[in-house]
Amino acid sequence: MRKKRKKHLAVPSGRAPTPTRETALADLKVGRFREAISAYKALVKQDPALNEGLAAAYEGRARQLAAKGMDKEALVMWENRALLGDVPVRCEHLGLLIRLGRIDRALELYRHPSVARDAALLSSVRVYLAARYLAGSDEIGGRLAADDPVLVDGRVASRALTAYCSGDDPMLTEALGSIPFRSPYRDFAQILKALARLAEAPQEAARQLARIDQDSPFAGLACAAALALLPERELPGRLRGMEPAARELVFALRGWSPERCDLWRELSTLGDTPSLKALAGVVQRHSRALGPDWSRRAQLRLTFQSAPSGTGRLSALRPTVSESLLLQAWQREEEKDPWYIFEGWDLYAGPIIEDLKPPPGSEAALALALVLRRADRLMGILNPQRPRGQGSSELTRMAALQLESSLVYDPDDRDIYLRLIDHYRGTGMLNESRRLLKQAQARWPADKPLLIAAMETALAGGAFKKAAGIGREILSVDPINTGVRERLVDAHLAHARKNLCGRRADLAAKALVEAGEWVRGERMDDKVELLRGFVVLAENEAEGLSRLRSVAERLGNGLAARLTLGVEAAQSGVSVPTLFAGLGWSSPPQVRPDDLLDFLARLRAFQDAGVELPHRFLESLSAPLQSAARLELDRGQLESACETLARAAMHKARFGFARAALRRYPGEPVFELHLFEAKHSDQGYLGVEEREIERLEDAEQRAREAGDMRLAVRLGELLDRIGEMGPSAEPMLPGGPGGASPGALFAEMVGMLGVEGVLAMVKGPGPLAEALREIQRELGAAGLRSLLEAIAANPAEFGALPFPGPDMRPAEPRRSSPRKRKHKGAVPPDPDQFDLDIF
Amino acid sequence: MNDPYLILGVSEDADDAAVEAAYRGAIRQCPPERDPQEFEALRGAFEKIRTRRDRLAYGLFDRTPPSIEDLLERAAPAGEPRRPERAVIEALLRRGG
Repeated sequence: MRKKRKKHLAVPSGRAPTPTRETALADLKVGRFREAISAYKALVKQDPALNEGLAAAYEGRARQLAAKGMDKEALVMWENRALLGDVPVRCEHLGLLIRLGRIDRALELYRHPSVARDAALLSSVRVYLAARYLAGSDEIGGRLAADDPVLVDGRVASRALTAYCSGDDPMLTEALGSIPFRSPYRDFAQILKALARLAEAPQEAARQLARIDQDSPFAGLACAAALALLPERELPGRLRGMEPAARELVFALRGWSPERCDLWRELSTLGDTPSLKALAGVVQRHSRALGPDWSRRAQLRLTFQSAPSGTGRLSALRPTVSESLLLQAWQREEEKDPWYIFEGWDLYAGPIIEDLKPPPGSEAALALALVLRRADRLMGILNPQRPRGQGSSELTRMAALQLESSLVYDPDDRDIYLRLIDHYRGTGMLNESRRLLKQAQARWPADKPLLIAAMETALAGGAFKKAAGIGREILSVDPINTGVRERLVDAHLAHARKNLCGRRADLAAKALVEAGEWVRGERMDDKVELLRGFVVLAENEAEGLSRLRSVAERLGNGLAARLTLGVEAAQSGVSVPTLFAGLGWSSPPQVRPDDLLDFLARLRAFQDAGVELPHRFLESLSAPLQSAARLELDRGQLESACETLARAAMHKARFGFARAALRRYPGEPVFELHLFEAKHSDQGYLGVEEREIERLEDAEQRAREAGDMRLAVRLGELLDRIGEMGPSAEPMLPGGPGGASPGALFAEMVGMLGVEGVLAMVKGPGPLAEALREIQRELGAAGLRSLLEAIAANPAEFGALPFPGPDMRPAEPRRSSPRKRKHKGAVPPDPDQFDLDIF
Repeated sequence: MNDPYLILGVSEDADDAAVEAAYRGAIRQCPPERDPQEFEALRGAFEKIRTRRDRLAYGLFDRTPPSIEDLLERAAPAGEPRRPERAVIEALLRRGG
């Protein structure tokens, strides 16, 4: 194709077509050197005095071209400049001549009278010649005067270089000491000093190298030496852009062996960011050097991370059953679904428990314990976040059991005991909590966190005296523990309430005195003062009411005050309506935003402390709360309000807040959940409409898409419960998250487990095994194997086909039936293939 | 580098004391004020393999693939620095600044 000729730019209007001194100077000043050269060339013909301007224009253009790496073109400009006659020599010109091997011309310029006249220029020019001399250029040495510093100091510098390269440091020091300060080899001496100290004082070496001017002919060497100081993480990437000599220097200075250099060269061919698949290939080729175990682990990780494209390669790796199950568990972790993750590690642990039976204390036992704890550790399954009543869900129960079984294999993890003790106490399973406490305290009798757990358990069981005794024990070793002090105050207050309920105001007053002994700070004092009001009320109604009125005033006389006094009254055996009538609270209060937030905070505090909240009393607060739902709250506050009201089973108020929230945030999954639960919780999901289920399913999908797996699971579990109870639920077709087809899921599973791994499942329990047996009945054992091999060879093709089997993912919500625990060892392993030591 | 054993320069059968000693030695060489990124890498590696439980957990649960630096360090660890040959420096000087 013919190249289009560049059109000449039109001369801007208002500018004379013939150049003038002014336009030429203006071009020169703004760096339009090509135009300036052209203008000055024309002007010099009329006025030779303008030669200087033309020289400046050539010089500017030469520098421009050199900066672009166009050395030869730049040299033409420099030579044109030199041809103008009496113009001073520039260092850059000489440097360029030397770089391009034009030594004769360089020496000619060196001898130019303008150089000899200018001491600074002479000194700069000599540095260029010095670098060339040291580079082993014979043509310089023979043509310089015997007393030329380039030659005289050059011999010493050369000796220093030889000494450095051969590791003769005394000789190096001596030679460097002989190079004068004003020598053309000053930069070189500085670099050699830095190189000699590179390993022992890298920072100092870096500072010395940084002092070398970028225009110095020694800058290339300094720059390469500085690269040898780069952190390891940056080096391989930077090496690719280096010239071979610089790379060789870095290799030597970093102690890279020829094998390492070769491997780097192989890796550098893979590009700046090599694909994981390509890296897996390198690992395979170098597995002997990398170590077979390390290499195997690396290949599994690389292949796993490059999935799904690595699926075929994974089959090629021929993973053992253990490896297949591990990969499956990893895959499940990517889904962020607690059930799914739990079952993944459960499947992995099953064969170890049943076949290996690792003895406690062994490495395998400890690994097994970690596996059994993994799902809870990763997803916080036992975290006390679920609404009361739902806290002990199937998953939570299973996770707690698995944590307990982990203690058989690793009984030395105190935190696991504490987690279980707290979980059981939080879900009201005090006997379980006490059982584990006993086991833990037998191992760590004086452990403070365990003592605190023991105190909390005693308090939860109403054993106040026991709790106070444990509290004293803790404070004897940790007197500034305010948390324990507060819990002790709470214990005495609880004791006082118990006495008030038993009409023993005298004993209640005594308990208050005991509480007072531990009080530190205003918050604790307020609690004591409130209960003192009730003790006085039991003995003198007027005085008691007066005290409680003062407390209510301090609390704002609103909804928060009603909650605080109402709960305290109920706990102390005082009739709440009678008390409220005495306080003149006959009509509901006008709720302000700050009062509402205070109310919710106090309600949460009661819930967290495990206070039993009188339901009828709380229901009496529903009306003002429902009207308060209209107040301006942000999204987080609305969600928090719904959660708190859910925990308190205040469904009417919760419904009001969820509805108000959905008006502001239509379709928000969490509020869809609250709206539905608030509407139906009391009716056991009877009469649920199909439309409502669809809304929940949509909400679940949106939550999953937004990555909020905890909410998605919660919605899924709700849908499961509706499936159990409701009349309209229908079984869903099998499928995976995100709508993956069953065929694609099965293909993925074959890729993950390998043909042998899937075949091992045939004899196991569960719907998948049943489906595989069905295929085996139809095709025979050999036919099933051929089918699986075909899938492994071409998973993409199979993924598009409808697979007749059941859902591959047992953790996915199925509306028709709740999730059931998968039996350990659902995938019967070949014990010979099982090898925990690999990991 | 991603492999915590390689970052700290300890073998895979190192015990708690060896791992801690390697970490302490490494952060003496590279305190946070000198190279915060390197210090973070050392700290992260130490946290991953600090105890026997941590080391087992790393082997079981960590899915991070090896990096190029891991492969280089594992297959052919860098040795002691050596002095370059004179010809290498001459070649660099010939190229100039």
